[in-house]
Amino acid sequence: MTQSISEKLETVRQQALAEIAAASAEGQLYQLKSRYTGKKSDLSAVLADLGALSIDEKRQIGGLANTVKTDVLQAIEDRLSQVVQSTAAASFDATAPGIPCVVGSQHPLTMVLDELKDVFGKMGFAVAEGPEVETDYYNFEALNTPKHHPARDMQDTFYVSDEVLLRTHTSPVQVRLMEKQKPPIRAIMPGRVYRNEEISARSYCLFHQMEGLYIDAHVTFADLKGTIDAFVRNYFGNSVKSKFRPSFFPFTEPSAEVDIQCFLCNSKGCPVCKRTGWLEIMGCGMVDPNVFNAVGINPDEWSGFAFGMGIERIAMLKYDVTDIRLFFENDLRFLEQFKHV
Amino acid sequence: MKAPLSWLKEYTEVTATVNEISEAFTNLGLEVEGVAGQYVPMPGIVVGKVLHSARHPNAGKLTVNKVDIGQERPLDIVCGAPNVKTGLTVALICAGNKLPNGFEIKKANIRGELSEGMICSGRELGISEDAAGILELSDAYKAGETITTGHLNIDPVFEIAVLSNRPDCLSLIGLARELQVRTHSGLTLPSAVLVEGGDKTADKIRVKIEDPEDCPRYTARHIARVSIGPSPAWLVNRLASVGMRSINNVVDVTNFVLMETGHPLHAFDYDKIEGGAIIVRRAASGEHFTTLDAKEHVLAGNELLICDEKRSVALAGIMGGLNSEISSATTEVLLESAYFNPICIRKTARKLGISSESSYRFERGADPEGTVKALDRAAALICELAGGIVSDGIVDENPGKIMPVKIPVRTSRVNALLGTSLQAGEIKDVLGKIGIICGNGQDFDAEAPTNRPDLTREVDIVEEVARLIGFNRIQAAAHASISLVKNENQLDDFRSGVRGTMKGYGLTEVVTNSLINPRELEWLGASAQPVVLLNPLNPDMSVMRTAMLPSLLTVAKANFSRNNTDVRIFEIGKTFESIGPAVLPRESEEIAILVSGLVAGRRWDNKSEEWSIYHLKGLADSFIEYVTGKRPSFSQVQVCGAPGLSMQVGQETLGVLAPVSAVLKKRYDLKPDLLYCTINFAALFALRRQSIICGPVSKFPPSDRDIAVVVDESASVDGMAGDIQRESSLIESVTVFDIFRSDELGAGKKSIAFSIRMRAFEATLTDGQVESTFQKIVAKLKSRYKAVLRS
Ligand SMILES: [Zn+2]
Repeated sequence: MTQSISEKLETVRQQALAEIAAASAEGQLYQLKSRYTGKKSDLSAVLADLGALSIDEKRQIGGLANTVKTDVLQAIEDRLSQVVQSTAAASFDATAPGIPCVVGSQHPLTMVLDELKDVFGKMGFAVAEGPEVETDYYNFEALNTPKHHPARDMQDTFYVSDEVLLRTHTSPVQVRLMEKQKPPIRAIMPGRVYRNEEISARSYCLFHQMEGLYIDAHVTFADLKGTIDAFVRNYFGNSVKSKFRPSFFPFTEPSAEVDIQCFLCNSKGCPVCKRTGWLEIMGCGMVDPNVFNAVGINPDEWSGFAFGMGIERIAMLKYDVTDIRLFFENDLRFLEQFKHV
Repeated sequence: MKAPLSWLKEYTEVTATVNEISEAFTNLGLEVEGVAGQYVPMPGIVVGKVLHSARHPNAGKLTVNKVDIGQERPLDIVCGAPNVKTGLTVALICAGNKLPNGFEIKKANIRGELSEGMICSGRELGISEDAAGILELSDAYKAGETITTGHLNIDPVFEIAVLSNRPDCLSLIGLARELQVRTHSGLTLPSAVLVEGGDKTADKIRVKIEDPEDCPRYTARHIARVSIGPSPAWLVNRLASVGMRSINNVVDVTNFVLMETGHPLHAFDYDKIEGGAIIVRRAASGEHFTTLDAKEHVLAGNELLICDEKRSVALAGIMGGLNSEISSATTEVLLESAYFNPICIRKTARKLGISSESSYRFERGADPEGTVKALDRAAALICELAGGIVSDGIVDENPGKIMPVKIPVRTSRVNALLGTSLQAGEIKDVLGKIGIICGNGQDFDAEAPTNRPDLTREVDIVEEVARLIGFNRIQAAAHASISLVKNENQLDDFRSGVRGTMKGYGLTEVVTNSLINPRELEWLGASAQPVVLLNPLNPDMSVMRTAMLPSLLTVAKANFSRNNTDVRIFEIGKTFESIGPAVLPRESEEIAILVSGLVAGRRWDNKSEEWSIYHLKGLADSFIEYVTGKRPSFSQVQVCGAPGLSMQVGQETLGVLAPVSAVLKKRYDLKPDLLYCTINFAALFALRRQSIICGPVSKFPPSDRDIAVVVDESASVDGMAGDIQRESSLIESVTVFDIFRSDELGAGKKSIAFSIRMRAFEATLTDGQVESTFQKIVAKLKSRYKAVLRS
């Protein structure tokens, strides 16, 4: 009796294993699983029909049946993994594109600003900020530019009232800083400024500036030259030379414009540098004693220099942008060109 | 300011090249912006002789020419200029060569006639604007010679940017004075040889200055028996070379002297000056005056006028009157040379919107001591060119005499500011070259001439020294002293950090105009008062934004119009709220985000996702938690007419997020759906996580349990998740993994499923702990939300 049952179990096992090995689809394997190990399976039928057997025989056959069941289940599991893997391999199209993963980009103007802050930061300049809507006093008067001074023509101003205006440079931040902090002062003032000028490829009604201020005992024009020279070499390249030429700003004296060798043409002359081989990049000078007097710093005790440059101007040179309006139009196709690490 | 080289040479005999002169000017602070009339020899542009010129058989306006260029065979040239003729010496470019502007001339067949080059006009050679006809060269030149500046007989004209503090350089003499500092070519001033005779000036002219503050000095001369007529060619050419039109001999002389000396003059028709009286006074309010350009001005009452006994005859320092201008009938001239207060002239010129050569100089500061020199120079020239007789003597009212300023200068201070080691002698030497007279000693007085109103303080002299010795003589300091001041600006560093994080979320940074159209604020229904500009460029940029949304919508619109449909942008920008006319507005900084289109681009597996408010909420939630270390709480609010959310951390409201309402979309003419979010930058900065303290993590496995409940539609999912989280310290996280509504659940009901992860720090949780925690959660949801557990 047990003999025939155990033979029957063995037959079931062989048959199941053969069918499992032959199965090639997930569905087939699940069907086999229910056929051989489910409630209505042959195996269950065998186990249900043990009434005539002794307790020992029942235990023996039960053990055998369980082994068969385990073997079958194991075989199904193994085959299932093989089948799943091969199906996946067959459906993997190595030439299909990946699922898109987006990354943003920084605006070129803030990128240049960050770079400048980094260079000056390493030279010990802190960042100072101030309001964009200013009083006439901070924007002009305290900067040695009284009302009806012809220098006001250099900066066409948006007015909010007689005494309130949109700052035309970040210099008022210098005044506020000097009022608040006693020398030594070493700071840069990045920010947005406004000019009432017709909008064109070369000028916009607002732009960004970064000014710098250094006040200490015994600061000289030679120090100014040294600092600017170090900045130019750090930022534009170690071999790029700069030169100073006299200029006029009401709040500095002596005043200078700084030209650097044109890095676009290796100072051979190109349309951007108007064939001169030099590019104008910033204005600077020694802080005028009248500015010191306005903020209560004794000009006999302290001296200092200030400088300022336009962020748009530098970004235009650096990235070969020929129309300033592109920065403010924010066409994503323009901006996405600035993706980088 | 235009400075023709030939004219400069009248006062300083420079031999330097054009480039050397340009560099000298620029290094003195007189930037040469360009040089007109420059020609660099080009290959293939040569002297040609027109051997024969005949009408083109097929084109009435063209000619066919045989031009000798010194080779065996003359060239055939088709020409369109009206002045080409047999025998002319011309500048010719042979085919196969390039013009200075880079344009290549090719051999061509023009209406059946061969042309082997082109005869050039001034414009084609880049030396003038004249394209009306070809250049006619001197016959002395030989055919075939390469064209040089000499052949073209051109006078280089320097275009110089004169800074606003240097009125003395608004003249040829002033520029020559500067130039000779570098070229060492000396300065020769014109001498006025004046023969006086006839009447006594004092009998002809009486001057009364009622306002000596605005008119410190008024000098005048009388010239009789002039005959008004055209100017000689040299004068016409001189004026043309600086862009001035010839009018008649007398007026041309005043303009010539203006350009030469920088001192503005005015010539009146003496017969039109009632009683020979000159009264300098303030205008009355409402007074009318017609300037010689025939424009009538209504005066406010503080303009300075030149008047005779009965009427006003000139707007002082700005423009003469139509009623007293020199005409062809004029026989006697009253010549004015005065000095007016710069601020007075500037105010009037601004107000009336007039900028003349005269006002431009007076408002920057003319030379009060230059009045008589200019007057005499002009009187002498008028006699020479218009044949007049200069009356005897000069009228010189000088009630506000301006003396040269003596400025104390310390050699040590010069060197301390410049970082130089100059000797007193060298300093005095360079100052002397521009007429600054220095006293003796290391510390000395420097007397600045009256043509230099910009020199009043020691530092002004320091600048002159630096400028005159040349900035390149000041060695750049190799080492700077170190300032031991704490240098950091956390706010700015934080700003950079936020930018980087936003970039990581796939957002692209924009920088937008903070000036907008006020109607955009009306559209938003913004209650904040904007800052309004008094003098905007145009209505679209006439107020400052009180919110970031208009700027970002403008960017979206521009991008949509260019078919950039997936918009994911952010800006860290300022908004401005007016809090009264006399005070500065409240400026606040916002992080603003605008999104539209697909979240992460188009996918090929049909799983592309469009931005929804849940995406943006998730982004804001993640960002705020990233920055502050705390999850924000959200509550529903109306934002610009759309249902949105406000975000809080603790008591602080950080910002809002919402879809752009249909009404607003219509206002901006936007079709696709958009969503935006703004976060107050300062509030976020205040809440930022400043230090990170790291704790240990549990080594034991978690127990995960899911729970699904049916609640009323009004129940807050965020609230339930928060309540679950707070129910026990064993709860590590709560995640919502399913929300659905169905007919089966019934109207006004929703089903929410949470996945709850529990974990203890010190041991693996027992089934009992997990079960009792789970039961507490169930009880809380039942009591607070009337939740029904789903099986
Ligand atoms: Zn270049």
